[in-house]
Formats: sequence, C-alpha cells, structure tokens
Amino acid sequence: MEILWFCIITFMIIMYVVLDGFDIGVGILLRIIGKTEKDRDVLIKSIGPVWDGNEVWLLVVGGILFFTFPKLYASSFSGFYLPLIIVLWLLIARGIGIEFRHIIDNPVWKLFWEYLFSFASVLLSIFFGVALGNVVRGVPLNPEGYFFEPLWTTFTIVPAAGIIDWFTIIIGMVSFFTLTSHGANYIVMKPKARYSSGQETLLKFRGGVFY
Amino acid sequence: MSIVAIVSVTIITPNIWKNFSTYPVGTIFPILGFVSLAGMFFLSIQKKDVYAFVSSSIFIGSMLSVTAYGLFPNLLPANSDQNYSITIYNASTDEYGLKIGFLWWIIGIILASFYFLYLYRSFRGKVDKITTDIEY
Repeated sequence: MEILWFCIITFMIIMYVVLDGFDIGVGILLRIIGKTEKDRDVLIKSIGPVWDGNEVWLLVVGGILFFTFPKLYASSFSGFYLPLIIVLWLLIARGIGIEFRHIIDNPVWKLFWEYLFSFASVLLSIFFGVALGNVVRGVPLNPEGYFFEPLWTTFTIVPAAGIIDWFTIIIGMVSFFTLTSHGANYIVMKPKARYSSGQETLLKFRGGVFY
Repeated sequence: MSIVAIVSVTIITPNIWKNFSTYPVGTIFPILGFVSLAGMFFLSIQKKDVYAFVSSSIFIGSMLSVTAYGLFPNLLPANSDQNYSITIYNASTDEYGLKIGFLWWIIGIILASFYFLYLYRSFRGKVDKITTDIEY
C-alpha cells in the first residue's frame, strides 16, 4: 500500500505542475507578451476559469500527505515553515492579482495587479524548483525526524546548508524556464493569436530554447 | 539548463541513479523526457500547437517521474545520516488507514476527473475578449 500511495502522490504532484504550471507560465509572460491591455485581457481570460481548479491539486497533495505519511507531513511542514509561508503568500498574491484586476477600470490599478501577478508567478516558479532541489539534496534530519534550515547560509553544499544554495538555485532556474516555456506553449494554443508586438518574443520562449 | 541540472544532481546525489541501474525499467522516464523535449521543439516549429503543449506536459511529467523513481523509497532524504531519512516505510500510517484512504481517494478522483472533463470541455477552443463573458 505504501508503494501505491507513493505512486498516487507522484501522480498528483505531476497533475498539479502540468495544470498549474501553464497558469504560472502565463503569469510570468503576462507583461512580456501582452503589450496592450487588450492582449493582457485575453491572456488572463485564457486561464481565468481554470486556474483555481488547477491549484486544488496542490491542496489535495497536502491533505493526502497528512493521512498517508504523517511523519513526513509533520517534519517537512515544520522544517520548511518559512518557505511554505512564502509560497502561501505568493499563491495568495497570484489569486488576488487575477481577481482584483478587473474590479476598477483604471490603468494604474490594473498595472499594479498585473505586476503583482507576474512577480508572484516568477517567484513561485523558482520556489517550487528550490523545494524540489531541497528534497533531492536532502535535509539535516535529526534522529527524531525533525530539522531546521535557514533560508540561506553560505550558498554552498555544506552540512549547514540553507534552503537556497547554488544547487537549489539551479533547480529553481530550471523550474522557472520549464514553466515559462510550458506557459508559452499554452499561450500559442489557447488564446487567439493577436498580440500586438509580443508574437516574436513568444516564439522565442516556446520550443524549449531555454532547456 | 537540463544538462546543467542533470550534472549538478549527479554531483550532489549520485545515489539518485542507483534505482535506474537496479530496476532498468525506470529508464523509460528519462528517455520519454528527452523524446518529448525534442518533440516539443520540432512540433512548435511545425506549428502543431496542441501537440507541442502535450509534449511540454509529458516532459514535465517524465522529469518529475525521474525524480520520484530516483528517490524511492525515500520521501525526504537526510544529508546528515542516511539512517535518519524519512521513507515510505517509516513514515506511513497503518495499513488499515491506507486502505480506507485509498477507497476514498478512488471516489474523489472519479469526481475530480468528471469535474475537470466538464470544465475543460466547456472551456475548449480559442479564447478572445468577445467570446468570454466572465470578467477577469
């Protein structure tokens, strides 16, 4: 049963990254591809009805960890407390960025929420990669199964490594470029292609130039 | 970036490739990853947008599968002492809980699948400002 649940959790994480990954990619490219307000309207509408549903996969993974592997849940949620809170705020920023943008039809208001949405998307893509990097690299667990890592120390892989070091930054950058390219592929596929001057930039982002 | 990442992972945790040599069936994941990466590149040149997006999705899925397969049975490896690592065996709840949870998961995933099928089916096609009524 443990192996089955390991496979289920992997499947759920993949579903989250694939589905919410293009939302995050659209967020990263919003201000780069959407040169006019009309373009940005179309881009946000292309993820509008699905972004919140896609994020539920992440919540479900948290819920599943709670009852299948409670020791992992307790250990990682306390050890990664600071980065998890940062991720939570970034998810909130993305959500309110989309939902508040259209409330007032004012260019400054829209600009603020668009930049917040893009900024949160960029950081979120990097933080997910950093989290994955930490899991791959390992953490300083004690015999009781607990650990603490500061956000960063010396950026080197030493026993007292922080959450952010040169290795996790590399994985964070891979995550950023992967999700950007994934979002670019979605933008070409889903919204009607009528971006004022961002079309050429868009073509550079897709096709895996960064891979 | 992919090559830099693979080299760094090999430097930091060389054991991650151990499962692939012990159980070679898992090599399907990195192969799938590289095929989908190449596919995404060529499909986007040929302007087959839907297939390019599917390739991108497969690439992400296969790379995460490579990570999971390499880490197994670890859930959270310890870099202090390997014996302290959290694995699927020392972190799981009891067998009864896992079985009951699986039954509920089946019900939940069926509901979620129908919801997502309905959502993406009703949202199919291209989006522009005129065809979308919802304000965002």
